[in-house]
Amino acid sequence: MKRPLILLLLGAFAALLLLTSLAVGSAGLVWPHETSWNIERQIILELRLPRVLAAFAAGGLLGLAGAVIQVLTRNPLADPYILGISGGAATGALLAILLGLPVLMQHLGAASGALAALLLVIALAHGEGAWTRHRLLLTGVVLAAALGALITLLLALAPESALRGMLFWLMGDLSGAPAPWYALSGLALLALLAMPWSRDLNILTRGEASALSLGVAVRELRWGAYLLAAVATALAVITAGSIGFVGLLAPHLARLLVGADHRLALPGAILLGGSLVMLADLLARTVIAPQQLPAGAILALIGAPIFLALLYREARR
Amino acid sequence: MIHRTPPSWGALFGLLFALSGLASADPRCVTQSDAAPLCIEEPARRVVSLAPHLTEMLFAIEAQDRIAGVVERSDYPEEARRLANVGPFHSPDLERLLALRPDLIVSWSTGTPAAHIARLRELGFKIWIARSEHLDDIPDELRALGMLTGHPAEAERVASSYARDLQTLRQHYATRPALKGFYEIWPQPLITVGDGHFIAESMRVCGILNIVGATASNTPSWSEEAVIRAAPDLLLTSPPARDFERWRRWTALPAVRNNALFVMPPDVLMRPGPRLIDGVRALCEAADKARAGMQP
Repeated sequence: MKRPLILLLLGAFAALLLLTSLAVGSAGLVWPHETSWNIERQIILELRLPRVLAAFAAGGLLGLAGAVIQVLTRNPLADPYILGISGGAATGALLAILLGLPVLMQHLGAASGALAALLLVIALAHGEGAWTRHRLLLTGVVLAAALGALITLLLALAPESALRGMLFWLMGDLSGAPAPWYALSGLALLALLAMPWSRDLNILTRGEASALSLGVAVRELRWGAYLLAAVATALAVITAGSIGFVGLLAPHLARLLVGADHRLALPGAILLGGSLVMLADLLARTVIAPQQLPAGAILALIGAPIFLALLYREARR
Repeated sequence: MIHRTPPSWGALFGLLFALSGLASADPRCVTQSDAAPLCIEEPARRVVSLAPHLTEMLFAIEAQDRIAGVVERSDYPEEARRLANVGPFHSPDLERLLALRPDLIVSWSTGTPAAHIARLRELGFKIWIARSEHLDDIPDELRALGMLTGHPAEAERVASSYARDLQTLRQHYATRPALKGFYEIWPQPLITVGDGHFIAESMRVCGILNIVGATASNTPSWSEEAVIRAAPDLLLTSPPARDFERWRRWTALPAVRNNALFVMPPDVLMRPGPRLIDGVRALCEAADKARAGMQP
């Protein structure tokens, strides 16, 4: 099949998932009927629509960030969380939960944690001497590890009552997602910023030396791409908690489906990331409804088999 | 995470509890949550309490002079704060516990980790495990503690007073019109109580039907949409959860229309101790207010 056509199909799939998520809720398939139209409309517009948009935005942002980070590190195992941003956001959010602050403060805590981690990485990596890609990334990795330990400590100290909230946040949960407009407009803006870089990113995958010889401003590209991925990750994590796996999975799936050319792979990763999180959240809301599951746990469960199947198919080709 | 036995086991335990009840032949033996009897030669003199509500029970039956140490958050009555502290209930400090040389440790099945209980048993301690899951467990546990600490008369007085008050409330509210209610334990994720939880039982006493119904876990995460669809007549919570703003925008909800959103007093409704009856009373008063506010 032609690759742009696959991209179009991915878009159609995302739209279909969005409509399904609007129509299906914890009470099974519910479409407005005349008797209680008012409350049904309110449920769809005020509960389901913001949530499904937040799911799409968070997934899309992580897909985009993951694709960029994998090029920057030239490591197929890299995902956006190695930047340390999500660790910072998690620490901020968990502290807010631990202190019993209201939901809004959790989002603010996550946002300031993410910002602090980002600034810290940049400040530490931007010291004297030649700037190397290893320095930036290793700073992020070490910070992520340290913050991971801090998170474990917070969990160990947390009272029973706060523990579930904290675990749900860490697993990725969309039930408390803030207004999705920030994440959505952030996604649109970052996608527009990233698209012109896709040619340069393609060249960068062949190595720094050849990119330099082909006239790519490698240093600027690295910094720009790093910042873009960091901001995308921060926005996603503030919206949906540290929902795992999608930043690793979506870019690889996109490359398997539409090829390694980032002019197609970037939009592919965004659409696939968004679709995966929407699907996971749909299942999380409905599988044992009205009881709720964290979307992040579902995501890895459905994502891993899809990925393995595609990988297997690719290998046989 | 609190682990709770599923309802069928609860029922089985209840049956065993009733069969091998406290009126068993040997007056020095009491039953515990796993239905195994615990026998003592003479009343315990150095008791360590591994649950705040068990500390409250010991004070209520005037056995406070028998307490050697208490778990963290044992904050009622005020004097309990001054007792030796053995750390949080989910991971008590075993060294400090040992140093207190208790001759009896009282714990609860859903709070104290099984591994800790096993370890303490290996170390040769006598441990009594309370079930503390239902409203009707409380008088039995008060009597058991009375037996174990040598305060049976005081325990009987407190237990029968609790049971009488509960019975009075049950009778009083049995004929009131039923209300649909939802209890929010935690806002994010939205956590509530299933029918097996003693808060849901308290709601039932006051004539409030829990819209959640029976669930596998006693404290399930719940869908906001399901709450709105069930159209509860009153919404309840207790600190630290106190965020009602999320509900106020649903102006069509009966609870919001009639302004029937109530914050219950802290602790009393969350702890299966002797003060739970005060919590039930506050809950019933909230239900009365909701009934008064409803349009006929």
